Amino acid sequence: MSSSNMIFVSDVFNNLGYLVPKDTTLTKTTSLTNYAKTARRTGFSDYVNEIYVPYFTQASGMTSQQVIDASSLLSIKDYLQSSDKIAMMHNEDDPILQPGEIGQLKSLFPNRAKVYPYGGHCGNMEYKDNVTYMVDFFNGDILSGSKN
Amino acid sequence: MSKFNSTLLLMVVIILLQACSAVPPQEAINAEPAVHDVNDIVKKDKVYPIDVYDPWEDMNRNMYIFNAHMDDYVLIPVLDAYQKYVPHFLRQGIHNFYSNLTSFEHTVNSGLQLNAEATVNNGLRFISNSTMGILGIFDIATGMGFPEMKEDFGQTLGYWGVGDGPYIVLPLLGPSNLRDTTGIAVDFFIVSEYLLDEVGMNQNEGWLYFYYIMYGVDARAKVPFRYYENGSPFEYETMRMLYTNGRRVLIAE
Repeated sequence: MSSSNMIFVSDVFNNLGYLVPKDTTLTKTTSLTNYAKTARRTGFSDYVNEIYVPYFTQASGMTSQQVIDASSLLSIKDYLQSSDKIAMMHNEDDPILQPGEIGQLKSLFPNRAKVYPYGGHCGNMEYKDNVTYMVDFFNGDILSGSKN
Repeated sequence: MSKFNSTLLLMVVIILLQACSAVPPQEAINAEPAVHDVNDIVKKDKVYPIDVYDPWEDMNRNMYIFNAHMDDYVLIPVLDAYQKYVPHFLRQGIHNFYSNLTSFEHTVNSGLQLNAEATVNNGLRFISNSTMGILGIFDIATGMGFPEMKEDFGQTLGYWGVGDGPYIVLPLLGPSNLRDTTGIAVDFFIVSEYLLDEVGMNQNEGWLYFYYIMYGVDARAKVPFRYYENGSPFEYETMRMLYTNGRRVLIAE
């Protein structure tokens, strides 16, 4: 659903003619039901390949591959590894992870990666102990070693 | 019908007529289809989960916007003040009072749906809360084993096979359809015209205004929904789908 929202809104804001034909006037009472259906059937990878990458290749002059590489956390590896302002919380069973990615992510956040075995995609974000851990991190208690 | 009710009805009609005068949406000047065009993807003869019969969509969308504005400028500020200045026990008492009156409505509708268990439950609930609970201000029935079993006239109509009918966004009340709007009118009659009259609570006009204003405040306080906060451009569609399916579940159970 949130991917549908993003696709539709970026299309309308930029008049891309992606789901809504170019120069269509949408008033506050225009029915969006059919666009909701087409947005629902347009995948996130369609969005990346057909909107995101073309937009940034045009805006930055980079090649498609460069845009994709620049979108990866690896492109700011040096910063992430050295900044103690940022930590990572993740779940081993998150469905968006590719095999081997969790190890790569851990290496980006030395001593600042907290990986839980279960929780799926953000399923344990509001779990009390996990929230406590996050609060402790921002209070500086994790890095100073006073709490773990 | 009392003078107050006629005024209310007139207001509703005026608002509905205003909504009718909306400008129809403009067609695209450019006929070039979109990359993922509706005409290629959406199958005309298929019913999608998001589809709800909504022939008055234009009017409904205007009403949806009107309700969002009413929420922003009137209802939520009033609600905030209500929650800030009126102590919790008093708000709870007011809530119990109104929900006790609807227990009467639930009793009648449980009976009309031939549901003996719910009729007895709601009837005993109404009687015990009205007497021992002092006009319903205290909900003692739940503790006595008579929980609220909501049955309204829209559900009664659904029970007897009446379909949803066209979707309608009502002023202030929000999502509904022709079946449930009829239900609201009948339930209003059961409680406001019959029950209040029976117990002599609709004699004084000033009291009636107070009664309906507090009813509205309490009703809004019960619903945690806030307009335009889920970040979706398809909020109207989503609400329409959730309302329609939610009501079907309530009717089926």
